[in-house]
Amino acid sequence: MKNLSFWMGMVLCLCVLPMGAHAQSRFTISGYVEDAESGEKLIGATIYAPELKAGTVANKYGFYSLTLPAADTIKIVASFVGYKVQILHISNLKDVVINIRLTPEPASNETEIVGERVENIIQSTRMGTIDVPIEQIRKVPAILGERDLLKAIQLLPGVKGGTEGSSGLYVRGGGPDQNLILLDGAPVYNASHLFGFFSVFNTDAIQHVELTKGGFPARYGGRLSSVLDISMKEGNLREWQTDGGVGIISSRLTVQGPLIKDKMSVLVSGRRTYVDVLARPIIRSLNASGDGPGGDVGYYFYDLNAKLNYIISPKDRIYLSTYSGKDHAYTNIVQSDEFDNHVPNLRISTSESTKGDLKWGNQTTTFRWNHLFSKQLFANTMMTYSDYTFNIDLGYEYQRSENDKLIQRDYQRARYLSGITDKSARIDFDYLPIPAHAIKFGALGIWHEYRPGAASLRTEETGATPRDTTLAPKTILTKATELAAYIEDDWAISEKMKLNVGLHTSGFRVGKTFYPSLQPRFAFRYLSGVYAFKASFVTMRQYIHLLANSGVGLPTDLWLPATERVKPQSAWQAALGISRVFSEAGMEASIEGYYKPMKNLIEYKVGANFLNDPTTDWQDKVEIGNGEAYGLEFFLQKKVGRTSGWVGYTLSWSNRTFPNLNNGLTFPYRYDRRHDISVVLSHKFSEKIDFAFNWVYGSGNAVTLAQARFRGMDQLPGDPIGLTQGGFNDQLQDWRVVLIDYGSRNGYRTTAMHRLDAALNIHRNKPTPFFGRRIRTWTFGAYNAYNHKNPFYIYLSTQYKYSDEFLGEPKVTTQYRQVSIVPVIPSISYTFKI
Amino acid sequence: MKYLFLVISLSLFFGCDFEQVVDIKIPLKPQLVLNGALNPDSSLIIQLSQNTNSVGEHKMPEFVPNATVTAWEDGKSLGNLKWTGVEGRYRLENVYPETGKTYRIKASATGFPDIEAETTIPKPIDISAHITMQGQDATLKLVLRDAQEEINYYMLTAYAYHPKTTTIGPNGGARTLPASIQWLNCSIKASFLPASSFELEGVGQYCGGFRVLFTDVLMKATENPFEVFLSDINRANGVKTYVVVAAIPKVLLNYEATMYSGGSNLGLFSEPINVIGNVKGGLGLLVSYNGVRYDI
Repeated sequence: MKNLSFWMGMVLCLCVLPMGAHAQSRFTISGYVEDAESGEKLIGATIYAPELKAGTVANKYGFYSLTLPAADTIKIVASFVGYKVQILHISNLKDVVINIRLTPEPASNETEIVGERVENIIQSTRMGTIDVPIEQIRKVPAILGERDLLKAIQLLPGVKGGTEGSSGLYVRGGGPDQNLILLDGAPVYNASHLFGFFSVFNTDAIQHVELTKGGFPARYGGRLSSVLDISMKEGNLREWQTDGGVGIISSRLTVQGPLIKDKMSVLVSGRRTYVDVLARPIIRSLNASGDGPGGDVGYYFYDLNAKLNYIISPKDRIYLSTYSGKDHAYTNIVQSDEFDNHVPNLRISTSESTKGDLKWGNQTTTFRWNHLFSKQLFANTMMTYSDYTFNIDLGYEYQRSENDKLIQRDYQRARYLSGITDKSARIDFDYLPIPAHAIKFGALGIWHEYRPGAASLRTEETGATPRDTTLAPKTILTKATELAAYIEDDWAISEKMKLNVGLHTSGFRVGKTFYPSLQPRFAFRYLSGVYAFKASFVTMRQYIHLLANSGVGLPTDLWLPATERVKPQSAWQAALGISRVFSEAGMEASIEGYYKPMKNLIEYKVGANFLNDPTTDWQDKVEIGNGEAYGLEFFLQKKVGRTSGWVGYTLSWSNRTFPNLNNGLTFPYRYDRRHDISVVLSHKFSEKIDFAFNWVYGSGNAVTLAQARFRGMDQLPGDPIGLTQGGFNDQLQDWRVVLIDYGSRNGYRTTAMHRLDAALNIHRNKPTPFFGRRIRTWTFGAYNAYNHKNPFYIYLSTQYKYSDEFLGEPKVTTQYRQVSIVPVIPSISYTFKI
Repeated sequence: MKYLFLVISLSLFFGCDFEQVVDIKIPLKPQLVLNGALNPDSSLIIQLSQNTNSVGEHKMPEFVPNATVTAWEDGKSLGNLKWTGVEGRYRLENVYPETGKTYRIKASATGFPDIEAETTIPKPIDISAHITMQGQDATLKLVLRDAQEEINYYMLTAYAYHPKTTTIGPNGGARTLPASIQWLNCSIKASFLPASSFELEGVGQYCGGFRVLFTDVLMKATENPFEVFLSDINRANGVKTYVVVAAIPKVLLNYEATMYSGGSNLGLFSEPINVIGNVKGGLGLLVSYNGVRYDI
């Protein structure tokens, strides 16, 4: 603890020292950049003084500050993707607050994309960071027409989606636990619905998404592979607005507007599936006719986002946002019977009921306060709460009565509960003393509560003693504290050279164990014409582990802390890259190579899973090992114009080495995929019609397949204790077991996957009698349009062929069969905006 | 509009064929397979076979008759085991494994890498029993004395032994049935054993349908009483019924655990599990046990 305090003190001292360095010969313009129509903050908007070749970028709260040397007049160019460039001429040079309002630009306007916009991709030192406009994400064709943020992110280079159809994220060879997914600053632990098929983020409520997969600035910590920073919309400050959509499986509605115009806004957004509601009358009808399951069976999920935004003064703003999402699969089946059994005066009635409840979901809340200490010092103070809970409740009851007297009752109930809760507080400062330095510093504390899984079983039987057993590890609840502080400076050494140097220090206490960590971060950029050459080196530490039987993001996955025995995960990542801008075409391109070794990764021991042996401490169920990932990524993106989208290609390797798995030999990671290509394009034919498609290709995933068959032990059943003198009795006809040798772990490859998704959007924009203008969009789409059978999993199938109508021994053959679960899926959906 | 429905219908029709056979070439790497369960009541005997292709026509993996199989007892050579000619077995006549001793078996055969495995005969089980018969039902009241300072592993099984029988058919022809074993389901009441198979999975115990393997993790005292109940015991034609309780090594429990909880490719939901073995250079399992058999 002493070490941590020392480093935190050092960091804060370093932060405070430069604050007095304000030269009199300079002036500062600062303020917020926002959408002129809605007042939404424009995160990442650029403010640039072309004559001075100095600029800045609006931070994730829309705030900017640019300190410039004195001059007679200064031209300022404000720009943001999808908005008209705004040029300001400032002549009365003194410190001034200018809130810049940018007007949305029609996508069909190709001519204004060039101008004097500062090109962030070559100006920034950051590597491995992709900022995808949310409008572009909304256009990506999706399964069943359900817009999906994570599935769009999967299409970026360096990101893999795991199995077909799932929302899992595997970034630069890392595992799904190595991604920090933040929704308004609160971590979301299980970001998927329906066992991974849909993500929990309702795109109608999202304003900005940024993925960082390498070259992490010091402000980020706690994960090895990526940070997906998602910001919710703040709510329209000018007018009330309603967005909604009706799809095949779900509908959504978002209402936002000013409670006090230009001062206070609110946003409420909800989404729910309705397969259960639609199926209920059908099930009832089937039950009535005797063909149904005999009860209620269903599944649904919902998401609810809400946000309140209040501008207290020009210097103070507060926000309160919350998210609640849940999946619920249920069954409640009761079968009753009554009969006389041909015995006079005896009426027997039985009832058998089966109940099952499977619930899991996230709950997050964020309170944020933005305060301007000065024109150059911006502070964000934040408190967050995040909870993920998984709950199984299964019950069975059998009752038998004779002449209405209960004779027999058997009852069983099994429950399982796991989850994680985080409470955090953090403060972040943006200090922009001169254009050459953009300093960020801050500190945070996270209080974790891990519930690694507890099962209980209750049984009651007529005539027997009831049993109520809790099968749980000794540590049902584990508490841990994580503290961190950071400082980083984005330093423009010269017009051509820029350096982002930072230090992230953190400490983690669980029980009596404390892990301190110092994580230096460096990123360098050298500008040569339209090219930017970049290099970065970062070290990362992760104090949380995910224990998963598979990589698809099942709700059964357990989040666990680093402990004395299971050390924190750590990694370093070095990257080299080159970026350039094609100004005339409005495109930007980058090539990046990376190398990332990882330590202290965990996997289940052979044969262990989340439910078996719950009395055993989870630490006894895991193996600890290392990993290594490296690769090359190519990215070409066009964000504006009639045609927009990107092309990405990744060449990568990802391996694991565990002393007690695969005989200690290195094996490919499950989602080690050599080649990955994605083409994501949309084209606007007119104001009424646009078309979007994406095509993806990925070489085969690594799988473990049966290598051979061999005889198992048949002596034990055949001759338990020397049944006959001399041991084996040759006359005994034992059963014989044939086992499978799976050989090397992940030693084989599935076939390559590729898929084309397409969507045609038809818009209508016309005035309505009561609601002003209404934009309506019909979307006709097809997922996996040419119906390619992509591998979901492969299994060994056994066929029995009888030669003569089931007489004699059958001929048995085995073959591999590939299961594909997502065929061509046409979809139709309707969205509206009032 | 009707064309739209046609397109959607055709799409769904062609899209619904979810499975297809894939031709994956997996070359076979020949390996010897050694299996054996040594115990003080049997002479030293093992089985030697070879692995076979995982796909294609199923044939029982063949035995390996021309191998050199050598045994050591606590590092001292016992000589070569002899091929019995039956069921792939090699035997050392008149050598009975002894409690606490370690036996190492090495096998080599042309075309295969050499293999080697060893096992130590566990201490005898400390158990007493009181058997009560009621008609065709039997109740065994057993007391298992367990050393608390270490984790011990046990196996319980019940079976009926059917001796060789010869029956005369309606046409006067004789038909001989070989001796056989019929595994019996029995119910067990024990404070250290949970009530259902669900729980058996839960506390590191594995029930393969006819035998229960368990640890002493839930045992709270050195003396652990429990009951075994068998019903409808068959005594016709010389059939004999036995209950066996034995001390076993941990690797045998792990073998059962991996055989019943895994051993299959569930693809998406879990990593395929190799059934636990302990044969260096090859496949299979060499274990030992030391138990008590009750003649019911």
